[in-house]
Amino acid sequence: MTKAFLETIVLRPENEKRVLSAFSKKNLKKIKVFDAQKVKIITGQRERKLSLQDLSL
Amino acid sequence: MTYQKFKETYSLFPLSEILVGASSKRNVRKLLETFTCSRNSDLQDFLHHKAMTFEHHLRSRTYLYLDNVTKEVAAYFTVTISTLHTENVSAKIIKLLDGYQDDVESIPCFLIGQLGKSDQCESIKIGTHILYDATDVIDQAQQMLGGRFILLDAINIKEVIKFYEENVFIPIEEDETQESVKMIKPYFELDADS
Repeated sequence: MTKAFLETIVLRPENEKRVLSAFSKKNLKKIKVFDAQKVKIITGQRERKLSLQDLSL
Repeated sequence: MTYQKFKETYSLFPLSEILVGASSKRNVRKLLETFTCSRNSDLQDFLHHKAMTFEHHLRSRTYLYLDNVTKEVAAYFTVTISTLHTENVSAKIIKLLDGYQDDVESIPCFLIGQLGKSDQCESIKIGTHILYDATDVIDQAQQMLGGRFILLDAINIKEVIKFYEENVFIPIEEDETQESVKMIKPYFELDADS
């Protein structure tokens, strides 16, 4: 949301457990599997059909 | 829609490239105004009224998906660098987020500030593909610069939070009364799983 650009983003102490969970070994494994799948899907798919000239700006 | 089909249907342009190549800013504004999102006015308003200014002043980078047939903006995301401020947070958690110090008040991070699709794409499942691309842009920066985590501020709607959770972002706050929920995806140290 736009306010993330404009306002201070604050982490509060009551949410510490959630940060621990995010950096846990269990989550690390989950992210590794997810990212490996992502890389597999997006690799070689960077070509775009339109060029800047096609936009006539 | 598969990722391959997604790439065949839409072309991804950095807004900075469009601004450099366009003959007038008015034309770029017209292009941005082809994006409509009645479900999320913040998403639409940012692209119509702030994205160009933010791009010009290097405040963020916006990437546009243009429909290959209509040449209208079908979706977009905006990324930048930011900081997460800690307020009476324990040294242990600060160290975990910062990676080195345990007494800092602001911790650098990458931010996905906006991400979404237009009304025209409402029924097409492309959210994960957009998020793949957004995190790929950040991953490339992170590999060259370092960085501990990606932060985003998701609109507090159950389906939206679930979508980001399915894409390995974890909420770091819970308050049903809040307009948005901060979520993070950490990067892990090279030997974290050894």
